[in-house]
Amino acid sequence: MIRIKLWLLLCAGLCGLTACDIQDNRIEPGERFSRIYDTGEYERAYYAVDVAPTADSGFIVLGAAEVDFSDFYGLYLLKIDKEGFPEWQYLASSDYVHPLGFLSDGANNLQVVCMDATGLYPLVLTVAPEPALVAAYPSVEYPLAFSRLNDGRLAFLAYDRVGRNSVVAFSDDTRQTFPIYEDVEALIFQHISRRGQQFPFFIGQTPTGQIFFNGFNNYTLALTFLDAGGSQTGVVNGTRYEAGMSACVALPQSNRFSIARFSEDGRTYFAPSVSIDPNAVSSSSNLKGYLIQELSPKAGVRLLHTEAGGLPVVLYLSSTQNGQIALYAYDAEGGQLLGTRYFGHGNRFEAGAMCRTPDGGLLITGRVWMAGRFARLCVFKLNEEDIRQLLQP
Amino acid sequence: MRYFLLLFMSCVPLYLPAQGDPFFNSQWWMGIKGGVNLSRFEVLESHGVYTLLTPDLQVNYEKNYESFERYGSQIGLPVMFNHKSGLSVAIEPTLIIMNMGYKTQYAWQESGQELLLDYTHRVNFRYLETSLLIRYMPIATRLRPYVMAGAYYGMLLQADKYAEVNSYDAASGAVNSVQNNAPVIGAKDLFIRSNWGFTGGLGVSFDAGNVRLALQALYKYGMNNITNVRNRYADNRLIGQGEAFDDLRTENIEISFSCLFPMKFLETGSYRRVKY
Repeated sequence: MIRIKLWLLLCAGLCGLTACDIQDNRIEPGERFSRIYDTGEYERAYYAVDVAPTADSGFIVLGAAEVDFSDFYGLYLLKIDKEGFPEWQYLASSDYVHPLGFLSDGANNLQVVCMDATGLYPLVLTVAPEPALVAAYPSVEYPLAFSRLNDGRLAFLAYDRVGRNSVVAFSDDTRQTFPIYEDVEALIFQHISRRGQQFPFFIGQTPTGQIFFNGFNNYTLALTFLDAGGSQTGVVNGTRYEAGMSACVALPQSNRFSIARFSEDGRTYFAPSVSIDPNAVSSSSNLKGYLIQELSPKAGVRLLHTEAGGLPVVLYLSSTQNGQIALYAYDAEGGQLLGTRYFGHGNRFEAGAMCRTPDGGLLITGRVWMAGRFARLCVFKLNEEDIRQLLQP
Repeated sequence: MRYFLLLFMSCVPLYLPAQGDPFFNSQWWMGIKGGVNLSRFEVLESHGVYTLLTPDLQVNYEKNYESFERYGSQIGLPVMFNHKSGLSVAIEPTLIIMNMGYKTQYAWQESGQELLLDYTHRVNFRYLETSLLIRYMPIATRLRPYVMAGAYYGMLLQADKYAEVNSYDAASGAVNSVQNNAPVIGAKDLFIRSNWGFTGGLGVSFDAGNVRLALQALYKYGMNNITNVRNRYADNRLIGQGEAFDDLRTENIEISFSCLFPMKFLETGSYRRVKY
């Protein structure tokens, strides 16, 4: 009898201990989710270009979608709520093509930069409830990248097809040209129409105000530094158009950068904390970094310099050879890898963009080939706990 | 059988009762039970990865659950205390295998091109379950019907998921559907350990000498969400298939045959048991 009582007590104790998980089985709506957005269409493909949080705790995804009215991909916007459920979508019916990214007007109003379908110049549009024109820059042809400068001006990286120059044009109508010395219009067109190699064009500014851009310059894909007047001060050359920078973000320390670069064989290297002299001529191949073998050839890389868990970190987002989205977290000061996380399996996934969320998490967008064939937008939302786990060495 | 009885008798303390002793008013039974079960999973809240932006399509991406269609099985070691009043208390530690099934359908159609995918998903659960049951036997004949009610607690040991995909790919020239199987995915982390609920049922027992045979049916109604909401989107393999588990509560009908042996005997050395 005593034995049976003991067994009963043991069973009751075990039940009590294990049943705690019922109480813990709770999560706030929207803390974590994964969504793949399907339209049921057979032929139209989508690219993920950018993502941003909105004032209502939701998010807006900027996509590029195949359209009938243009050779270029059309502007596509998908507004989702804080749990990732769609609220509205917008697909440009004309004019708005080649979306480049989101832009804040400085008053927390989100804007989007794209290209005019016929004039091939950059447009700035409002986002909600339906895109409306804010500004157009007809003198800037073939926009490739843009950035909001510290002084509030917009800077565009563009291509001058007549003069065969890369152009850095500012919203105050000033500009600088950088000769390429050969006709690269075919490469530019293939990039913009997404029918050929996607080049990692970007333009940005260091905390000290130095402008840099990654574009074609003097026969190569080069990271070029400019002085306050827009003149070139230094350059990190690639190898023709086959090697160069994949992504770059300036760190708070003087002349320190987190970069990703690719070599002629398509391999990608990460250098999370590297020194670059903006007044010197150097080569991207000299920026050694870690060889990331698992990434797709010439994989697109997105960088985000942020703070998590009290640490300055750099997040690298890219796509692996086996069709997953990969997220790498590096210590922005020491350059050590803190953690990695992968998203997707089975069907091919490709990284798009990422942004921090108001709850301390991260939202990642990309695209996935549903059933192995239909390219659709997808999002992955991580909460603060996920970020903390990612950073645990 | 003799060795089996001896084994049980060895658990009985050597105790020589006097006439009128409460010893004669009750009986302990131990034994083994086994049988089959059918399950239904009630959706508390629906979740998914595939999100349809155009709701006017022919198909929606919702899960269609089967209801008491897939057989599972269970085996257990019941212990029962019978009182002469006809009331009894039973504890039934049971290893139970439950099967869940649901279907999803996806379609892409445009300009005469069409791809249809029919998924049949199966999830297999193994729980170590303990039921605490109060039984009442209204008549004390050799063939005794009884009713019972109580509660149960299950601890998840293992969960696996796999899917069959039936595709009709007219766009690639198919005129018939083709079946493929997705790999088995260990899904234990996608569910919490605990599953508890209330249970009730009826049965009938038959005394064949010192062995009590019983056939019983139990209906079990789960009271908690078994899906681990924190890990709902944690498995990349499921995300790749567009899958995320809904919040689920279990319902289960269990039919068992049991064979029970008495633990209290009138005399040591003999097989004459206390009546109840």
